[in-house]
Amino acid sequence: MNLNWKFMISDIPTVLSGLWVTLGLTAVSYLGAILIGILFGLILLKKVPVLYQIVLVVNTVLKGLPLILQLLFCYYAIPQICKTLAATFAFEYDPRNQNYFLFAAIALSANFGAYMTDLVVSSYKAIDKGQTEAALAAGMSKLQGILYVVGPQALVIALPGLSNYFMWLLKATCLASVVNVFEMTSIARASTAVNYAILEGYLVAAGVYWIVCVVVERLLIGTNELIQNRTGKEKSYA
Amino acid sequence: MWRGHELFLEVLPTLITFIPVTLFYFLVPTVISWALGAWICRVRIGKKNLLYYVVSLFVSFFRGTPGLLQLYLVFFGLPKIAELFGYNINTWSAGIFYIIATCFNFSSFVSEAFRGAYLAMNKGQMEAGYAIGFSKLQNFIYVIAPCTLKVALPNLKNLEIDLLKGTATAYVIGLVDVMGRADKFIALHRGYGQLWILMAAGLLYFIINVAVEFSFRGFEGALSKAERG
Amino acid sequence: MRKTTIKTAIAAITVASIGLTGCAAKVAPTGSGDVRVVEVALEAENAPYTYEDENGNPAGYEYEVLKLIDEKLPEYEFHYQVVDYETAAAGVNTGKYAFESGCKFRTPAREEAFLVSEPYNYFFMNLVVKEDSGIEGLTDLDGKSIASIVGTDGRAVALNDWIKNHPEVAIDFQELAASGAMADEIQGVEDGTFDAAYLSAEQANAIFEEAGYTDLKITDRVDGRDTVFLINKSETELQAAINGALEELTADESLGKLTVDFFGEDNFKVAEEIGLKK
Repeated sequence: MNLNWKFMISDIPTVLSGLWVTLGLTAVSYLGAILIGILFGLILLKKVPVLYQIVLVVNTVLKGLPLILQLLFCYYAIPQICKTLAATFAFEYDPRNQNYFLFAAIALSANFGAYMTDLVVSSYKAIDKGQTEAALAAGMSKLQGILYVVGPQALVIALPGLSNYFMWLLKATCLASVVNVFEMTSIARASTAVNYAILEGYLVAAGVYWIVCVVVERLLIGTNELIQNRTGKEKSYA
Repeated sequence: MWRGHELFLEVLPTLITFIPVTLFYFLVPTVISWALGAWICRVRIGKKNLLYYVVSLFVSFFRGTPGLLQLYLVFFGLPKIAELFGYNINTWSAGIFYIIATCFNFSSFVSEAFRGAYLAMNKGQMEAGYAIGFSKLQNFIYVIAPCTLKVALPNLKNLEIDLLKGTATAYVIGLVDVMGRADKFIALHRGYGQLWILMAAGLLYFIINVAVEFSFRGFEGALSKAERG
Repeated sequence: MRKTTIKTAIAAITVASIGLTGCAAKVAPTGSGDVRVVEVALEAENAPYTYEDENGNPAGYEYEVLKLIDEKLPEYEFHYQVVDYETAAAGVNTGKYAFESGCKFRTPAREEAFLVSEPYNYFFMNLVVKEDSGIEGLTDLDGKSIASIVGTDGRAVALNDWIKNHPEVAIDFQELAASGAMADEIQGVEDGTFDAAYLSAEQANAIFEEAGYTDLKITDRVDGRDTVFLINKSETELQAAINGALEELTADESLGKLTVDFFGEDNFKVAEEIGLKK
């Protein structure tokens, strides 16, 4: 096949420079998603009135819409919201340097936050009710019970799900290239502006993604196994 | 925002007429991918020959790279590969490239769902099948396939919903489904009222999504009922 | 009951897969006859040059030019696909499309990557500014800003060329990663984000019509370029054929007349006057 191999090799460092943005976007969105997941999850578990219904609706909508639509929506809507807010509260907002990275991170956090919420709820529910009671009986406060007894166990149960979502998110950040974030895919595309060899550019990006995904997946599986084994042992000693 | 709701109502009827297109690009890859995924799963649980490694590499690639990139690669790259064999497939519509790319991607995920379920299956059941005199094919149809499917179903449901929502990405290569038509509306209005047009598209995706979710629940219910009855 | 369901399902899957492959094979052209079907990419969202009308059909000045060329070339039959900006250029590069039409300026990068045709039109850039801004041309934009354009857009190339040739004028201009809507550029001027947008009067007018701005104006032309078709590197015969047709159409002034219909003046004559046409 008549691919421009020379260009592909010379393009690798350029594309790799975008890997950091991709990883950064993944990390920021992942943290955001976990925070949303914990917050929404607690609201659902504690059945906080009004908020409970709101979270249910928001959660359903976020899960029911294509991610690309949510990204486009944030891309168009957030600047308008910022503009209105800036006018109302007179805070500083520079529409010339739009923070597309942040817009994409918000959309990704919200979307994955909905899935995280489900994960938080299901992991918490998977733990025997007796555990909480035991913690209370042992003289712990409710918070201590969550922190030292229920929380760690829920985390172990949630681990496979957490790893899965990380992998999904890593690949989903690619969609941010559609909304003007200079991440790996759009840097690969932009690097082909000199010669229009877009297939070659995308091939390099796909190669980098592939390697990163395989490595990250191995690491996650390894960590999971390590933790499962350890907690298994602890349990047998207890 | 000056005439947003009007725009919303203006584009909605047209977008509704594109629902069948979106469903087509959801159902066709589903059918092909389940068949292809089952075959991949069979290879991956079988002997470790050359085919095993080729297929494993295929699955690894399509699970380890973003779907959007795969779509671009198939769209721009497949004609080049076809050229090597003397075929000109440049006249193919974007839809065919979307189906091919999606089948590669989706069958990789489906095969893993099948494989996970197969490995989790109680091997005693398989032996029981042979013990009552089933042939290999009979055993597959009456024992292995239903058991695997039942275990894999929750996983498959999530994958199917992702597939459905993923069709919204197809507009980037020019496929005209609900999202593609919405994109064209945005272009036609030169970028005005994008939010309202996107909202109209979003509403339709949400409705389709709920419908698919309910069909799966019905299917799951029917399956467990059949098992009991 | 269950037996038949599963059997039907398997049959359905088989039929569907076979049906699809069969259908795909039929679509592939068999290289028959003397007329060659040529895939042409038209860039979307670029009225009045190339765009899709309400019914999803190609339209615009360049589409009309292509129809005239196609008439002159009996050995070719143009088949049009309206695709987005990046897909068009990338597709011509990989050979997916034989050539593309989308207001392309002649730039060094493009001449390196593609074969280019003779000019089929001239494109003049104007500024869209606030009526009371007092900005008449690019030199008035010292210390001011122009709305962002995607880096691969010819307008960005032309603008960057101008900025490079005028180091004494400091214009704040940034490129985008993916192509945005031209309407956003004008909206940026309207709400004060940028001081000016850089595009043709025709493009600006098309957007004005949609949005109904009252406090914006279009300046006189500030720069101009010829626009060409970008042709896949291997299509030398097609390039020669298109150039031949363009030469005839330019000589008998069919193109000039067409520009009057679309833009209100003969772009070829204007180009000659300002020294753009050699």
